[in-house]
Amino acid sequence: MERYVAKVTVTLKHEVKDNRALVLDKMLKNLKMEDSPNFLTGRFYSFCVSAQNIDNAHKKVNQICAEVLSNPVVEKYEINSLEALK
Amino acid sequence: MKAAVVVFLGTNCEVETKRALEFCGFEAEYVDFNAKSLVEYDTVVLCGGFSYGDYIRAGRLAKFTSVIDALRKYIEQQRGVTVGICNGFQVLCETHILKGALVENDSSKFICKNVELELSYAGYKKNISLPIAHKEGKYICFEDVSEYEFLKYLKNPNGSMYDVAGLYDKTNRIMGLMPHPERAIFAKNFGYDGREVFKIIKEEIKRG
Repeated sequence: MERYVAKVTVTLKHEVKDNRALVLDKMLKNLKMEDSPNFLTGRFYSFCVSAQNIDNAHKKVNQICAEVLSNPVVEKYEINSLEALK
Repeated sequence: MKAAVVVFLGTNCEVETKRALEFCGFEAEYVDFNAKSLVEYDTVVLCGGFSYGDYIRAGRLAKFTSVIDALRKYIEQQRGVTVGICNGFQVLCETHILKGALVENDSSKFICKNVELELSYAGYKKNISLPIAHKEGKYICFEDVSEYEFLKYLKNPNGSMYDVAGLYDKTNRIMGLMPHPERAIFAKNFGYDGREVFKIIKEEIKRG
């Protein structure tokens, strides 16, 4: 068994209003730093899984994201990276 | 009538919920999150609070407790009425027992106030007033659930779709609501309108 580290972000689906992002957009505009920053907010997770190979690790991470870390009704997740621990 | 008040780690409305149920004629008792069976109860109430610190999402981690497995069996057997109040409603949505999900209010603020609502039950409609106290109370569902709605905000405080404050499943045996009826039972509380909700629970139990 090898150990893999996954880095995952969970964000709201496009059709769900992201209130925090709207506030940040407005703030940056008011500060005259950026006119349309188009923020997207979410949650970041980093965690380790044990698996025999990278494919199995990928399946395991997908299952954890879908069943534990996100609610598929309103959220989507993205696996940013999955690497073997040295 | 026997009622179970489910207590998760972080639940904080169990005392007033049990007291309200007893006032409305139920024989209520606390049930731990480790409970394996709920069949002896006529109603199971998941009450308000911050179960498991609202980590990941409000109500998310309660999904993995054995009492939720017992609740799924309870619902499958059509044993009694399941009620989720505030965090309990969030738990019912996170477990997909009820449709939709609850996300952060449009204002991004925790709202704690009395709101005006329209209660509809079996062709009967009444305007009532109940307290709300939540930050993640905006109901979202991409299917039309208006026919299952029994409690509707008259002046939507959080941006809920279809002004949903409370809804049934298609069998009318599972109810979820964001307002706190248990906080509107006695004179020292926010009025008496909470009694109307407990009356509906009783009628649903009698209906079988």
